Amino acid sequence: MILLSVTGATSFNHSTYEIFKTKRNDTVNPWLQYEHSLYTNFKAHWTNGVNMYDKYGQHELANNCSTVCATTDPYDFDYLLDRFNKLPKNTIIFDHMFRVIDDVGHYPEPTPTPNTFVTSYSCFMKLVSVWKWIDSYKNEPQMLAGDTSRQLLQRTLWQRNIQWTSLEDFYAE
Amino acid sequence: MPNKKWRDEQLQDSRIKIKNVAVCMYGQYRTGDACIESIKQFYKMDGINVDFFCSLKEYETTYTRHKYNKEKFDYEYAKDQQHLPEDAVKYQTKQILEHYKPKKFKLYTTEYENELRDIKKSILQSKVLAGWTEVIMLKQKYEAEADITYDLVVMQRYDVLVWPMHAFETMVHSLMDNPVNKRQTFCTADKNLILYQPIEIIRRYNGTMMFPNGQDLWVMGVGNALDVWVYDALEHIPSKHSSNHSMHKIYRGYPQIDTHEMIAGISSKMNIPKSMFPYIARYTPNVYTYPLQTHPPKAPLVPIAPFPVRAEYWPDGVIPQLEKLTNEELEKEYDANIFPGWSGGI
Repeated sequence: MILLSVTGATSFNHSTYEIFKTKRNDTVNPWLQYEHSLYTNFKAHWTNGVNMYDKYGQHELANNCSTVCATTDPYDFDYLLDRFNKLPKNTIIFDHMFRVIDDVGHYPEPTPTPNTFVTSYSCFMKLVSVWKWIDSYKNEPQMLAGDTSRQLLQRTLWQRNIQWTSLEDFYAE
Repeated sequence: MPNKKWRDEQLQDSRIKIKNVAVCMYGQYRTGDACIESIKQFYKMDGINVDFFCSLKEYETTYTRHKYNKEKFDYEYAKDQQHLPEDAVKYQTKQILEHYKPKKFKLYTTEYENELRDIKKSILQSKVLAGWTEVIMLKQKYEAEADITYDLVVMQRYDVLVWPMHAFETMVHSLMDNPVNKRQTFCTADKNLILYQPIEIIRRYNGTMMFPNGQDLWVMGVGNALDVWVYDALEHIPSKHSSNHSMHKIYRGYPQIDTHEMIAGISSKMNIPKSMFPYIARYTPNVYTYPLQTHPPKAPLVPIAPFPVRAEYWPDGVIPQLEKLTNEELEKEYDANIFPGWSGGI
């Protein structure tokens, strides 16, 4: 089963796959350094994931037998899904990575851009629930003040034992 | 020499705050009636909002009671579900709704559970995974609807009590304002951690000290720890549509040998910081030491002791009114009847 989680585009009206849609609420984001992607956006994705479980339960979602396509804006997932089907189920495949070149021409490891990605239901929830970890520090904003969304995203992927890649790696072949 | 940024980060204090607690009840009701009043009293605490979430299985089993099973069924390892009559399930549901007033309740039907592939085989622990996942996802459904997050999540069975009766209050006090990034605390540097007892406290001298194990009778997750735990548990529940279980795994256990290993194994896989519960005073609330701390010499502290309640523990087969017992009286019952019966497989 393939399910679609949408958080931004209200005009995302039709799809081959069932759509779960929650509009993210950027007006209440107290964590500006996470650029709306890991807090309000992931909170809306998490709400979609909870609704998926409410509708389908363990029968459909356990054991990596369901796939979730996550996006903020309209996106054609055919190519991303095709590539995901060739990967282990504990992998997240992102549409693209963020790459920088520093002053001395060094290429640091690229970090995922979490706007559009495909993964199993379990890995989807492991990643998007990081909003709640951020929220647990709401009484201590100083603890996360020096953090960035890219660092947190990468730490979360490492911590949850999730593999990741992007379409660009396939283009490079 | 550390730079200024590093020094500043070292000096930053991180303290746990507990305002909202979710008690997640799961599994079979069994002796739930005898435990209701004690459980309600146990979780009453001024200044803390405690909400119950309940998932109920409509059958009974006696898996690990080897002596009881041998006498009653003539075999030691009873995996069969004894399905309850419709009236009994209705009664249990009524009791739960009336006494715990859960924010969400769901019947986990046997028909539904049995559709999961391989669930009838030796995947005993998968049933616990399934039960925990069901109730924690119920909690998350409510969190999404009410726009609330729980600071502490407790896994509680209907037929289990915890001694001493001030253990919950003491635990909340031990967590409240606890600096997690200082020495001689839980030492995790993360507010999102899991607490459980090692099974050595119950099963002594069985060589499990370095074996990944956790006592499943009473488990606490601070922050999002148990949410993440169930997301990974979902990968190990055999789905209706597919199963990762090879024949070897079906008969030998997958991915862990038993429930205790599963709790610690998944926590480790998800890198969730974990600790045993602090030792606490027998009869005085809010006296405790964290792991690594030395016990005060004149006030020996004890481990928190969760235990199942079964009528067969008592010679006359009648469970006393446990909610009326003092901590001292309950300790005597534990030593005289409960622990010998429990560890003896009754």
